[in-house]
Amino acid sequence: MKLIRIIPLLLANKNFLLKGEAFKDHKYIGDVYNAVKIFSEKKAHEIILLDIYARKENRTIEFDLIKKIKKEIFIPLCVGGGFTKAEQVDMFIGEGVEKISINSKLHDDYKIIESIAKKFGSQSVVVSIDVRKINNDYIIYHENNQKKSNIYLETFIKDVQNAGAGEIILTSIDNEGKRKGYDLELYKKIQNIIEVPLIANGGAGNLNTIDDLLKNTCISSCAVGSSFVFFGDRKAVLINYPTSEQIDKIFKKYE
Amino acid sequence: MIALIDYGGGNTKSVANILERLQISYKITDNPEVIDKSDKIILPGVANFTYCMEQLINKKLDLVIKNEVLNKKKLFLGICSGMQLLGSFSEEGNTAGLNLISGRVRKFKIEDSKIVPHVGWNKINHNGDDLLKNIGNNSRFYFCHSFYFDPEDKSNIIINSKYGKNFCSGIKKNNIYGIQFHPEKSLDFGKILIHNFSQLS
Repeated sequence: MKLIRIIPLLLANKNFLLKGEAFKDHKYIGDVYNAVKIFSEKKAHEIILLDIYARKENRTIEFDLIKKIKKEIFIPLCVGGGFTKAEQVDMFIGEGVEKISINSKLHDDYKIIESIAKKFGSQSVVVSIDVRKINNDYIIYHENNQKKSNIYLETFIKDVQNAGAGEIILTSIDNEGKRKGYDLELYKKIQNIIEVPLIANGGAGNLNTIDDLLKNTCISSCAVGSSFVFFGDRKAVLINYPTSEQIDKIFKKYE
Repeated sequence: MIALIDYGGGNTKSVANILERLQISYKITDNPEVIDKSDKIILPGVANFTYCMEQLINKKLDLVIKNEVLNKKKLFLGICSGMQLLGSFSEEGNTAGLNLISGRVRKFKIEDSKIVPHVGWNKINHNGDDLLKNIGNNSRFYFCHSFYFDPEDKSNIIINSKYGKNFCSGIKKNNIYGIQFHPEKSLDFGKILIHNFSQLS
């Protein structure tokens, strides 16, 4: 049995909604607050919102924006961007944010996962891992594809699970934004060591690409970026999400 | 007025937002005098069981809640960790709970479900209690948890769900309710459930 989740993943710089390809060429496509509100109205299963400029600018994702969003939406929200210390998380959780996504600083320090999990429970800590396929091997990159890590992907997944991560977002940098399907090999490679929910990200196109992932791997949750904000080959900006009927069909197929 | 207990267990604000939206009168509080004046109590929670119990005990809210619920018979709703806290004991940190409903809080076993926590929009089956009025069986609510409440007296179970195996996702004993899922994150059905609770008497 699989409990399916299909999750819009939005990239932001403050309240600017961005989208690029393979972690590059980010263009401004709208405003975060409105996009989130529309996804909530369309009954999205959850929303992941990541501020990809926060770390570089030595800040976290904007607290006031999140506060405003939390008043409007009644679906789970996961936020990330610039979190390097457990103390920074308190006010976001206090405002009702369900999950905090941690990425960059992790390679030096698993303590942030441990301390958030101990205080707020594992389910509130999401670890985001970005990988590139190089010579048939998956290499972890952090800080937005800037720094190469020397830790093996499998080792890292086991370590963050042991530290108390409640979920993992595993992104294929190569496939991100291309709408040609998920990197199935990546998820097949790690599916046997996964003990917490893993959200596949990078490459979602139409619903068939989601079905390919669900059918051919053990994964039950997937994030979708470009395909939920763009329409057609010319990439007109249009916030969209599968209809309730389409979602019901997917639920039934995998239950 | 509903007293929404603020004890540091997180998630209070999400529940406040939905009460606000439904125009139900509430106060976020850890003050025994305010709780005394309320006619219903909601105990939210997303945090670790041991941490939650420590916070309640430090603020002496465990005694306040017991008095309000057992002596004054106020209607009480525990959400997620707030439901689990009603139990006698939790495997999460091997900690004693409020013991308002006898039972143990257990971790999902790897034999039953390989992936823990249980996260997502799962179905509920219920016994038609007034808390679930206008909510059909198989309606979906948002769950996010690694532990579940296993009450000693199975007749306390009002809602069941399935994750690998069947588990209790809602309990009731007299004026005390607990639900494992999050109505505050469950769109329309969540709003109906919170409305139903506000209408109970």
